Amino acid sequence: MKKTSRLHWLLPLALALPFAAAFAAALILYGSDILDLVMVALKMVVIA
Amino acid sequence: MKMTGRLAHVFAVIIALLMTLTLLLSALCAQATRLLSDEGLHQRVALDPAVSAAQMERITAAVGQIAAEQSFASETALSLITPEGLADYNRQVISWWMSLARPDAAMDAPQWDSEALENAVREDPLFQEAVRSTLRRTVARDQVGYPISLAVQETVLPVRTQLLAFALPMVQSYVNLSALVGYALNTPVLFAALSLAMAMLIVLLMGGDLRKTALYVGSALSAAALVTLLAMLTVHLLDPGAIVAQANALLGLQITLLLHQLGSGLGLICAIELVAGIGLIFLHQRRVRVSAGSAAA
Repeated sequence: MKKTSRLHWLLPLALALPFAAAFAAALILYGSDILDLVMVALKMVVIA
Repeated sequence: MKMTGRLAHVFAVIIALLMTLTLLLSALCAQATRLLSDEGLHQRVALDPAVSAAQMERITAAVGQIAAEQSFASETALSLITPEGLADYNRQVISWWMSLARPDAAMDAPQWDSEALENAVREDPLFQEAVRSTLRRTVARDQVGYPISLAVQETVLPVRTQLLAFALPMVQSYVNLSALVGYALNTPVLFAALSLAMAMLIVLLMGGDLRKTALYVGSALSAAALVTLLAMLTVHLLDPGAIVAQANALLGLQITLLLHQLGSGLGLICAIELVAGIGLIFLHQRRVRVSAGSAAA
């Protein structure tokens, strides 16, 4: 019969890892550019 | 379509990965649709006591400045700018900008009605003393009523509306915004249906074995909840409200409140996904243990 594996509990983490990594990479690589773009758009549209 | 062995499990993991993505998109799109269609959400933010107090404070300062310049008692004007009137104007503005995607939408934002205010200022003793009777009507309209109306509008809607009036018809000529918003409102259901289809696919791949299916579906649900939590944590740390506050403090406050509202909705979805996911994995683990125990007996 099949054995109980506690490693099964780690499957959600394994599935979440690629998304977390992609999210972190996008934030590190493009975070400051996105922030600059947001600030430019805000200054254009919003009244101080 | 029964697949056995390692290959079926590899496919199940790949489908669970895709299911994580669709669950994540479904939760995020659900919040986006709230932004696009839930007028009550925007009203809760705009009519929050902190926002109302900040709006009144800003308007009081603007009226005070205009009163000093045009020689009238600021209380004369402020007595006509009531919290109820301001709340009603907030509702009008929200209804206006939420209808902008419609093809027949009015491009001009609603104006704060200043007629009663102009009449009251014309009767103000200080104003009558400072302005000649022949000029009172014109000064009350152009130098008092219009700037106060503009100050109220810019407090409630601190956005350059002329940019919207210029850009929106251009966008409308290329894209059917109304239809696009209609499609966007269906995306949460679409992604949820895709997730369900993937769960069914896992059942088929596992040859109808619900115990094994529970592991993969439960893992996808838990993973989606974990990634959503991570995204929420990042947004919390980045604090978009503080970023917007650099451009306009009042708008920054509203963005913070709006994110709290959206965060609570997303948090609820996360909790449901996490409980369901952990429950399914627990069922899988328990049944494995039970079957292992009965085999030993």
